[in-house]
Amino acid sequence: MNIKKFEKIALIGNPNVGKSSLFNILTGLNQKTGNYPGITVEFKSGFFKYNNNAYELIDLPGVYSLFPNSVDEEIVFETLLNEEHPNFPDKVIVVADALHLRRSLLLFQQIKELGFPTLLVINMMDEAERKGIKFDTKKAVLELENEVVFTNARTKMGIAELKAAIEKISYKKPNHYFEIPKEYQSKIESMKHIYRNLSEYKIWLLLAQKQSVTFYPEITHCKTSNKIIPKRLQTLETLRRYSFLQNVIQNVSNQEKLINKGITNKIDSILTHNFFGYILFFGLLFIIFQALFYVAQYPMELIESGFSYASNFLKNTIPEGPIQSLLADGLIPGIGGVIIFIPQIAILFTFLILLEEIGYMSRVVYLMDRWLKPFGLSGKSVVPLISGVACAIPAVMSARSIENAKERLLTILVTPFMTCSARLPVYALIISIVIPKGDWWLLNYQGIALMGLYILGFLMAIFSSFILKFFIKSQYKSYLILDMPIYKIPLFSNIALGVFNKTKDFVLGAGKIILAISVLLWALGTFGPKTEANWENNTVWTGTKLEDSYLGIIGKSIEPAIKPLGYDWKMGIGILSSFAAREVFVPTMATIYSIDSDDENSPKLVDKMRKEQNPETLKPVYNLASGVSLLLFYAFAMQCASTIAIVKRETNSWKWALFQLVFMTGIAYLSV
Amino acid sequence: MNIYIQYICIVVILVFAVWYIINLAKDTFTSKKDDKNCGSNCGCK
Repeated sequence: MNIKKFEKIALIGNPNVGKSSLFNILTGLNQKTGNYPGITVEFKSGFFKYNNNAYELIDLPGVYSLFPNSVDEEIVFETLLNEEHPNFPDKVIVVADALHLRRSLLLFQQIKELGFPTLLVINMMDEAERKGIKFDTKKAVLELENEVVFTNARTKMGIAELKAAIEKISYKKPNHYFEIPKEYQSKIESMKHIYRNLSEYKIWLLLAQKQSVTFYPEITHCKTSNKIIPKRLQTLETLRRYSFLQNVIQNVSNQEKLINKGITNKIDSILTHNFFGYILFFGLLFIIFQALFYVAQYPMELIESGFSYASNFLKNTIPEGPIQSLLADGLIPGIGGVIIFIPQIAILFTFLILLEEIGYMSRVVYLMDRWLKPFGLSGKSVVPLISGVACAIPAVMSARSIENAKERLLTILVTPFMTCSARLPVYALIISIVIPKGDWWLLNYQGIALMGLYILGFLMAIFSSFILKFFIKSQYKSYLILDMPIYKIPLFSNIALGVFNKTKDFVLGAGKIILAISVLLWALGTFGPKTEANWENNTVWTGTKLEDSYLGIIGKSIEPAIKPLGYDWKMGIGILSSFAAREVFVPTMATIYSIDSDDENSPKLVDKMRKEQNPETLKPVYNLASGVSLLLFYAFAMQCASTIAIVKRETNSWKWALFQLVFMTGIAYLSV
Repeated sequence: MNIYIQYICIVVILVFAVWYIINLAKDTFTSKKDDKNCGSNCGCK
């Protein structure tokens, strides 16, 4: 098939307008995720074809206007204003919420006046119809001076019309330009000498930015020399546009008369109640954690047995030698250490995406704001803190929605204390070795220990924030402005796609590094200075004893530093390797004990570690004291190179990334 | 399989693993931010 044209289209809209649902419908599985250059803000792009034309659709973060207050809003601004940006679009689709048309149209007008060929999509028509809201399509096109498509992502209504309209998007110069206020006209005119290619409105918009605009550096200088206060420009533009839009909306729909949140208000009276709201929230968290441990254990056991079987199968089928050892003792236990995480990651993200889809997460932010404020955090810190239970990397990235710089920095610094999924197998392994099995009433001892570690992580996060807030200064007063979306029935396809993408990112991201480290550890644990002596008749190789291997030599050399903590050299290697990523600890121990084991009848790592004895005292190496010490170390230490890198990029400073490394690891060392 | 061939395979895999880890570390800690937006007449250099 010959492609007639290829166009890059940006998908823009307010948060919670169904933008991602439309993106998923249009692109299906033909999506990819990536990062914006220079910073770690994730973006999604996808491809689709229509009538021999190919389109790349870029799903930009949700924004209310082109006056950014957070990092992801700045991304949208830069993408649309910086023509050098790799995602600078040919055309723009603005997705509006049929129930909150006014604020969607503010964004639409701004984008249209930037000169982009723009298509307006009014989505969530099912919700509008349910509330009796009607639109006059012809009037809408006339009043907005633009093509308008009405859709309902839930039922896929209007998708065919949308595709057809995308093909025809063109630029129509609107008559109702935003008029630059007279007092600023001469200033903007003088700036046109520097930026000849920019329209007056673009210069106005650049001057209205609170932050410095790196891609037009002289604007900051002009702002200072002309004593321009960006907030004043923003207020002027917003008020003028709203006054115009008020009339437009009255002419094209009966929305203003009918808008009534009805059921949403009734549900909110319970879910955001001063007492029942918290009871329901903590009850929900309890259910999530129960599901995380109880439901996930069955597939996890199945995966562990599968890899154990695969390892034994390779030992029985491949002749003895280094290749057999690499596969059965190095790669298979290493890969197993990654795959075993999948059920927990998938369950956790199912819940998180489900709550977001329903519209409950905004209520949690509202509920928690008053409790987190005394610790220097914001209600919006709840999202990174909860996401931190899965992985600190997306959690730190999600802190970009916090407007206040101090609250954002504090959230980034303390989020890695939350018990991430990489800590979970470490905890599960150590707990099953040192905490006895048994029940207290109906509560399992090992379960209590695990829950205690999750609570400990949260308490340490808010305690650290409380201390750090006295040392970090803020220029702005903090306030919470929230969009409370209406409650919606979640779309199964959105949840499934979200869970699939998150799990895939985890497996591919962590999997590659674990695989490489497993190979390295296996080689270091299998070879040593005396390897040559292990050849029988120069043909059969019998491997090297672990303590004589290079890994053994490294472990023994760091043993004096960790012996006072009650750790042996094998634990030392585990800790050392997990500074790359915590999740490396379990595969490391699996590789070490797999190389070292002569016991063919006891394939489980837990049994091998439980039997380990101190050669001097002949007592178990893993006792309650050393186990608790190890657990505390893993609870507090910053052992994730990727998180350090993300913190550096999000704070744009090595100072805070290194401070976090020293602060967390210092607490960990002192606590053990 | 001949022991020497096995050794060659392992060396290749090991070199690839070490190369991958070094590259990953380099990518993780190297800033990708450039200053190509800073034109000569903008007063930012």
